[in-house]
Amino acid sequence: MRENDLFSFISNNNTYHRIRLVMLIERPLLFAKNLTKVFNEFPVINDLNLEIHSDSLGLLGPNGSGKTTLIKLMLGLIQPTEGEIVLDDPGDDLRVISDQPRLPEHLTIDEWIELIEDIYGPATRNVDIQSDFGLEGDWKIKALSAGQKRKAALLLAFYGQPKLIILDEPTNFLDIVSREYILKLLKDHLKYTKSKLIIATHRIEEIRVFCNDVIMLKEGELLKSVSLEDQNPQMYSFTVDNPKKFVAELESTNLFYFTESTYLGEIVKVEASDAAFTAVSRFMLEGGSVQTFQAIDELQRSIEELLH
Amino acid sequence: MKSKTSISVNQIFFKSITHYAITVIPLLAGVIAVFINPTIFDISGNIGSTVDDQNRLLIEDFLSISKLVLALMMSFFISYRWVSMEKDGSYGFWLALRVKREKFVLRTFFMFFVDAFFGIIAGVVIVLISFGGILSMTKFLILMVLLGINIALITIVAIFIGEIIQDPEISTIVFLGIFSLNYFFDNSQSSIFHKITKTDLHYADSNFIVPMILSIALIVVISLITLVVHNRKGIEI
Repeated sequence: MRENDLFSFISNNNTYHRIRLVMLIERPLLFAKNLTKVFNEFPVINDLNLEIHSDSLGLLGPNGSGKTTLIKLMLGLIQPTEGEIVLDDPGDDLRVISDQPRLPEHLTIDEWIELIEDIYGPATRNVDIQSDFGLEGDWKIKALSAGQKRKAALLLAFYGQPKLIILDEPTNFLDIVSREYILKLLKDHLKYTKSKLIIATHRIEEIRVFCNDVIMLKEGELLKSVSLEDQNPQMYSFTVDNPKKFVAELESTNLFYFTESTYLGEIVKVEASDAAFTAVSRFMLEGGSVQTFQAIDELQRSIEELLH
Repeated sequence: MKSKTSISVNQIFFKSITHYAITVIPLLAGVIAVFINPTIFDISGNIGSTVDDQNRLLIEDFLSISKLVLALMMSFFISYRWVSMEKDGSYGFWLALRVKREKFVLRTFFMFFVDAFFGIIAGVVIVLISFGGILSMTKFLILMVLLGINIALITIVAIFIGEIIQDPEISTIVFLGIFSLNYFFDNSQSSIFHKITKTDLHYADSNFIVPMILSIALIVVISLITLVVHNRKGIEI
């Protein structure tokens, strides 16, 4: 079929065929239409519609928002109650590491790595991941701590040539040192393999490191879809030693600002502008000090909306 | 690189003593039962009736005990574990690595079938040799085919029960219950139920084709239902 014929065929056909054909031409990473999943009459995913053409997608949401259910649906482990979901599934080149993976517990780490190599071939890069993860070869998986089990599961992503990696809370149970190391390793690995990524997490910094697009879920519904490409700060957030004095400085500008009381103390949020820094300079020259500073972009604002 | 399906089946079902349990225990139980209480001897301790009858009695004695023990093994190693693996995430782990559901079911069925079949056939040979039983090659081949069909039926029923019942303990009890009812209450060789569920005992019949076809039809129907149910089922990850 020539290109023109194809487009005329698409425009003359019904919606379902149009969707299918558009997906054939340009396959989205993830597509869902009227997706609903009900457990015990409670909708865990509720009428979700999305079409993601990104290489790296973040699923963000609080506990019980439906992230893991969405992953199960995209993998076909559970059937939708209504609607459809299509993942650009690379088959054998897919790696999935769930939040609590049931690894073969009777194996040792050496046997587990041997098994991964039997399935996917040798490690993608010449890196001794096992040693770097601090996993001894003769340790039984069933005797590992939760963090060590998580590392053993993550090994799956580093063998063969994955084209899509799906991670559900990848750094749960990891100590801060291991977490930093694994995130760096994963970033390099994704760059090297050019693998796509879907990551479900609570941690905004992981989303920022890996994702171009984020969908935010709340109680099974799509709260917002945010693109992280070309994100500019919309607000600045400060905690200062003397909020009253700082607010007085802001009063002299035309900037929009407001204060919030949190468990960290009083936070001053100011419209993102160079004039905000001028006000900060004046405040500091008069003896004030800034304790924390954060630039708030669309993602951060969306999370704050999610929390309220 | 090995097939993911074969690795997953081995990791879930055949990681420890399963091969030995399914192959050796029914064989030993059947052989021991025949040696302890052989019905081919009459009350006075003499061997009675014709050679064909002796062979039939020997084989019946062995098969009834060894299949009962096989059912006991399968109730745990298949029905119980089937429900458990769907719930505890161990099967979901492999499905997420793109193991195909149908291939997994068929491979599991095949591996249990092969283990059970070779164990019981070996037992039949041991019993016949030990007691000097004589069976023509044709009859032995028919027995092998019918026994294969019967073991396939037991295996697929064990999987089917594991598939439709959501609790591991209940699925074990239900499978054992079905097998026991069939074992203890149906002794009429001419009944259609006997022909379907105890196909192997009809190896000496002139018309063994009918039970064979009926059993195969039942296996096909149960397999198809199992696959349909299995493919639609939600699996934990």
